[in-house]
Amino acid sequence: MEKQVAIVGYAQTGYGSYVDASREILVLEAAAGALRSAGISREVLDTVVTATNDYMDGRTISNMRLVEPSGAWFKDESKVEMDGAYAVLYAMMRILSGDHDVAMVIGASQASVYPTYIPGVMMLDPTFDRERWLLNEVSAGALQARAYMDAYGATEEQIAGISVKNLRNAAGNPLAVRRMPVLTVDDVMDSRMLYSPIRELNAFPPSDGACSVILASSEKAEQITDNPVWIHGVGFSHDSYLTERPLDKLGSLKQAADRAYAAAGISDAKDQVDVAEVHENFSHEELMAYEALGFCGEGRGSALLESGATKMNGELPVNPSGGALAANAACAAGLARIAEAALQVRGEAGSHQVKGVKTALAHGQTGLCAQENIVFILGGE
Amino acid sequence: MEMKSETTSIPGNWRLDQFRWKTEQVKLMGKFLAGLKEKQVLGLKCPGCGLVYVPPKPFCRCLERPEKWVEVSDEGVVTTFTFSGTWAFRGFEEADESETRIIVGIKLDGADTLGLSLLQGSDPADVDVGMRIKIRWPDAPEGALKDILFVEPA
Repeated sequence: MEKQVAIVGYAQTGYGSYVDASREILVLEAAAGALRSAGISREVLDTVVTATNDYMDGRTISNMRLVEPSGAWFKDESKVEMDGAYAVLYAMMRILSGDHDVAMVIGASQASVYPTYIPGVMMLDPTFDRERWLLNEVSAGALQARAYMDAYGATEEQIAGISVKNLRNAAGNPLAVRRMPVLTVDDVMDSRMLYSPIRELNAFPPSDGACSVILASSEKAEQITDNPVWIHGVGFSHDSYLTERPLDKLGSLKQAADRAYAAAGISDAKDQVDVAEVHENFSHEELMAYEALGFCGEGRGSALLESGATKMNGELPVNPSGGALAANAACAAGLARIAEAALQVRGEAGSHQVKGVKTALAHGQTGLCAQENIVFILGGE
Repeated sequence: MEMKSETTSIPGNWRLDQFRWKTEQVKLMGKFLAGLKEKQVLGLKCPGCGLVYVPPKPFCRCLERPEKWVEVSDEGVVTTFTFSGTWAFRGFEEADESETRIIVGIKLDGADTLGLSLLQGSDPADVDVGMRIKIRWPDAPEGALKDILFVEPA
């Protein structure tokens, strides 16, 4: 799709394992920050889409009390109960409908208010898996990791290599929770075992934080900024529940990517994408994503990592921000990939900026073992 | 924030009988559990795509409604596995694991969905994908989910 909807502003709060502020204040900071970034006032907004989650919030109607802090007063506001990356698709559709010109998207959550990794338990089949206490977010991820390793021969050290790359990159991202400039594979292997083969540094850090992105129609975008970041393509796909699909590959990510590439006119992702922000909740998922995104062939994820192509100075840097391994506020983590990809296109990423980015890919996921995936292709003028 | 050991208890009733939830799953699970009492593992087969769901599921991704009961084997194969570490979750709570639990994803012969069980009678070093296992039935199954919680090498 050619220059129909653009990102014109964005903001992220600093992420932390415990941020001493209410969710409403985090949302307010992200909303106000995005408006400042776009250089527009709240009055310019037509519609607001929030991404929050009842069971992470510990109460029903998680967008309750968010009308004011999200900037939605006297506007229309609705909620996506998934990652904010999906809210971007929703907001984009509202703009494409012709009814709205400027949309604010906000995702937020606070892992410090609920037991760590509990959301995974709430996503389980209620009559069987939830009754047996074997699965949670981490053990499910571990089963996925083992299935992938068994299918393609990836090793725990290679998987640890993703943590090393991303958490070293995060040293250049002032907002990240984990900033580890001298991390080694041995450090990752020595970190606490959660569920084999997943160690603490292979798993996302439960985080508090919020992210917001402002979208605008082409006409408004050109008025608001000289540097709109255009959405050239988007693809979204759901897979089945984790017990009903192969765990050794990310089928719905491949489908989402193929749809986004078709819309953006991308035939060779490795050649045409300059930087990618991937939503990896666990390090093995980034290797799996390389394959699903077509950056390499099936089973070649480890080889691509070891070639150095996805490092900061490589041919196709992946997660210069540090990715979700460096900071992961649920509902904001995929949205943050979009904000980070937009930063890269605009050349505003500071000490984690990749040189010469024209086309960027951003990925978001929701669900156990990356059940639902969404891919955006962004680009500048 | 200061951690508090006491929580607040509020006496009251939640009138569940005021809600009239509808679910096919209860009826299906009733039959599934009755099978377990006879040491039978039952699955529900989809007439559209042929997928056999264990445990049963009233709807299929192909938009058909699985309705035909089939008995599947109590033996099968390990397709993936994990060992609990020094940190784990049981239920909703973080807990220290005193002993390593071997959680296995299994496909029972005749089933198409993955089941999660605990492997007993095997050293972690011997566990691998492709390993044959069978359900370790209790002497007198109660017709409860715990009847099929454990598996052992076949």
